[in-house]
Amino acid sequence: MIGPAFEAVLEGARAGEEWAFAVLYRDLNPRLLRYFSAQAPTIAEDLASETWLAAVGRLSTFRGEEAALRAWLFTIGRRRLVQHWRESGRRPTRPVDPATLGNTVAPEDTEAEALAATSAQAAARAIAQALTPDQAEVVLLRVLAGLDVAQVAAVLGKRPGTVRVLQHKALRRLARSSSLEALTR
Amino acid sequence: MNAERDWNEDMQRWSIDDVTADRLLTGGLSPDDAPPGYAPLAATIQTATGPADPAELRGEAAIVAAGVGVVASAHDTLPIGRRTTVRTKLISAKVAAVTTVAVLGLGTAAAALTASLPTPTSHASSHAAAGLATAAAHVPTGAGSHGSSASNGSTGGTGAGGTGPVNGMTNGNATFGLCTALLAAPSQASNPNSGKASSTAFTTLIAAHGGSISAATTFCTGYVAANHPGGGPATTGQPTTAPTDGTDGSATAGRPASPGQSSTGGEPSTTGASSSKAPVTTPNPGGTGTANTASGGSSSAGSSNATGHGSH
Repeated sequence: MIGPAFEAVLEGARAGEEWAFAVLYRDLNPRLLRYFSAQAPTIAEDLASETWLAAVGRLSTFRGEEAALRAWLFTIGRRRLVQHWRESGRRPTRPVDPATLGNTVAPEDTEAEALAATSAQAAARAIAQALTPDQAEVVLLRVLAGLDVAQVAAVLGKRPGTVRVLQHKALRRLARSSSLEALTR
Repeated sequence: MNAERDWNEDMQRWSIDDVTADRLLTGGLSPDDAPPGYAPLAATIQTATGPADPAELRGEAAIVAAGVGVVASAHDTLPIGRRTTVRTKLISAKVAAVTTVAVLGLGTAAAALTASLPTPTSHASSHAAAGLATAAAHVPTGAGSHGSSASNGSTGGTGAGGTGPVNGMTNGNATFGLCTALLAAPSQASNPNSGKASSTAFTTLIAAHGGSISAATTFCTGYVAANHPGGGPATTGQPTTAPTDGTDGSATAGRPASPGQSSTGGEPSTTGASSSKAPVTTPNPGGTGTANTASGGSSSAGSSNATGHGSH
């Protein structure tokens, strides 16, 4: 969270100030990267870069507060992700136990490198893998983007009530999951 | 029944309210404060929302440079170009609007002040009014007024000293305008109320050339014909040449009259030159003087129709 300085930072970024872009990047990129890492680990950094490049090009058109900027950025990011899924013709549909991943990925595999993530990215990935895709998107946007139910609903194009139902189902499912217990042990 | 009982027990065991769910999802619920069974999830969420790892900031330099570059290029190109374009368009529109209003206002006001407008009892008299308006607007404010249009073609002898054929009027353009108006007005025979005899402007013209309407008409017919580009009278009232664009700075037909120019150093007004050659260059010979002025062909209507109407 940037907090009270957000307005000045945004104005600085619009004016092309390096420090302002640096503040925005440091605040938002870790969570953006974790969001992508949880859903498309092999190209997470590429998607994050594409999202930023698209965002900085349109930053002059953005109007709103800090939460709105996060929603805006993650909306751009999610569109990139959906585009990636469309182009690659695949989307994660089955939750996988993270404990089994180490046995299925060869050390020299490029995906293995992508999976050598930070603990934060590993935690985000564990959450996503324990859930259905719809549930994962809701929880990740709530946790990582810091969006409320209405904002998540707007980003996903769903009703707030639907988002709330998905959220509760996801939380129950995560509470029952033993994988998280193993992760935090 | 067992499945249903298990589901109910499961729902009760893992059920949490909205407020707790919100706190949990925003990382505001520590594992110690989490409801039974949710401590691992609370810990996982806190880990997922933890501080940035240096590895997650590797792309900072590239993104910052891209952001700065985007803003810089936007400042260097698009906004300036767009501002210039918009400003140019706005200025052009304002100039056009102001010119049009000025022409309409000054032309009409001058004609009204001279009280020389014939009674508009016919289509022809409306053209005459247009001609008068133009003529009045052409009255020079100083010596040396001259139709200096490069494409003028006038042979009226309106030299630098301004020696117009009409006494008291040193502008040949004014004579041309008055003559055009006189020729365009209905004849006394067809309309005794045409105003020819009582018009102050016509009185001067008539007095200077024979003392009668017929003598002045004869003079004006020859004058308009002599000053008509190409040397011959316009007999059809139709345009005979394409309008010039006036890009060389000379006065051209088809441009809105600009009386203000006549006061700058005694140079001829745009309308003066325009009226002297308007009969052959304006594509719209019909309509009222006002309408033609607004559309940039101020005196051509009167001039073009002057010959046609003047024949009766």
